[in-house]
Amino acid sequence: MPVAVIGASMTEFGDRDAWIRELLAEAGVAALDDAGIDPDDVEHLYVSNMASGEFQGQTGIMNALAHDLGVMPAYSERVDQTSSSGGAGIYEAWQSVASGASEMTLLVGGEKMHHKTTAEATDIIASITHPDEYKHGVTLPSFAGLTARHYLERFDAPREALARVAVKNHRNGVDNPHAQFQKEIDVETALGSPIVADPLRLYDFCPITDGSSGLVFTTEERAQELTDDYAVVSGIDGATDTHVVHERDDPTVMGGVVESSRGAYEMAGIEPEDVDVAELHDMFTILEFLQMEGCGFAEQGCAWEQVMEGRTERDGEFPINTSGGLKSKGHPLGASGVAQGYEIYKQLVGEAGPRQVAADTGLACNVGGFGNCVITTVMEAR
Amino acid sequence: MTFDAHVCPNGHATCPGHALCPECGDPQEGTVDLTDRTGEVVTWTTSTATPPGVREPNTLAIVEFDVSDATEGPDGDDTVRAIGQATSDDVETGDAVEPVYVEELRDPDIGLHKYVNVLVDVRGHASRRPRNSHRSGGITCVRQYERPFGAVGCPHRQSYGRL
Ligand SMILES: [Zn+2]
Repeated sequence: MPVAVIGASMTEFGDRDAWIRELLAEAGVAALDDAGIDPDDVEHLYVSNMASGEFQGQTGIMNALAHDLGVMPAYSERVDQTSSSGGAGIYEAWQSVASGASEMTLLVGGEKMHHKTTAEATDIIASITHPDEYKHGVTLPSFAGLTARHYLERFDAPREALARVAVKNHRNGVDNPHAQFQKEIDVETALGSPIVADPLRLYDFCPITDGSSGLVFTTEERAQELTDDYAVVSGIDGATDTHVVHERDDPTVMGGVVESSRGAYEMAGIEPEDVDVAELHDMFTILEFLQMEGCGFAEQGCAWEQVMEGRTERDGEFPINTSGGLKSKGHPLGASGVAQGYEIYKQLVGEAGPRQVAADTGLACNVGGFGNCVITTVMEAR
Repeated sequence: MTFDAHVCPNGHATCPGHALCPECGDPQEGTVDLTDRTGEVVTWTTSTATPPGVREPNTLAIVEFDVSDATEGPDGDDTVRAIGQATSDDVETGDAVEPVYVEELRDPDIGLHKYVNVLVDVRGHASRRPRNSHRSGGITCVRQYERPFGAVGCPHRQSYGRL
């Protein structure tokens, strides 16, 4: 049965004093409020989170949130798919309603990371890698450096194109009051910032962030009773690529992006050109190119041309990351996929404020690991 | 410790190995020793944001080895890829490199995957193996092939303080 989204929330992203339990509760309360429903209405609760145990020694957070929101005896479950935990939560929430198991599902994604040093946080994230990668000190940023060099050399793309992704997303983030960075940068600043994983520099990477985001799902029938403005999840699919990143045949193709987006398009009955606005997982600038190509918005090796031409700016033909993306908004691991859904929902119901673009169909692509697990969601306005 | 690619009966090769061949699902029963082979750098990066216990900067390379002589079947892989730490920061795409042996790659007392370096201790020979030996590459890094082999040891190790 068709599944609707009737409410969304997002906390302030950044360096927060609140711990994971409090962050989740803040987004949970706000999502229920936005949807205009009571805790008693919630039948399933999903909590997207990668590593609350590793970051804060707090496990069982689905139960903690259920208690703090008073949604007992609702079924509750924590969803971990590393960086794509949020997208995986959307998939779980959609399944719970589509299957008839739940008529009202609350999804809250969150992560508390900023209290750790950059090296500690990087190591927690790097622990997703295969031991044969980890023992060499491989990190997610180093995968991005390896892939970016290959992309630039193979497709003869200018280094500046990657900086343009950062500049665009920072500009969009200026109008997002929840974003960690609400500050414009220029190409020179990005290209002059310190090297993190050659050829990528500081401004090619998203920051370490605390934050939480929520979405409320119900049947389309129930949505029609509750509100005039809602969106439907018209297509959704998830896919998995290799654990060992260097085993992929083509380093510039994210198989999980290709497979999950094809699945989502097929379910929605649309083509890539039908999408009006997209949130892509720009944890690293190079990922925006790989997802534009994997989702079918550009031919392989050509995404950078659209960025250089300004086509993906907020006022361009095909806006990407109107929220500011992970780049300026920040990347609280478990929250990010849910916050992508928040932005697409707000764009579709016309509540995106200064970031508003004309859109009836939106897409969110949430990437876990370095493309290891990917969820693509298509939403349409009703 | 060894530095092997793992091969299924259909000639599909991966490094590291898996319970079942990711390509066809058959068990990977064969191995190809990569320690004496020359590989080619597919891409590389120098990472400055390294986790605790890892050298900084850390130059990493994805290296492709020709294994066509050791894989059978019409569908067999001609090459297999591995990742390693370069012993020099002077690396370019397309460079020819070969594996060298180092005793420990990162501090075994720091980091989340504790078992990575413990494996070396279990074998018990790591600390007694000559520093420049490349015969056993269970822990491997790559270096410029052009340099005299063994003459400079492993710069990675020298630059790594107590590691
Ligand atoms: Zn096979």
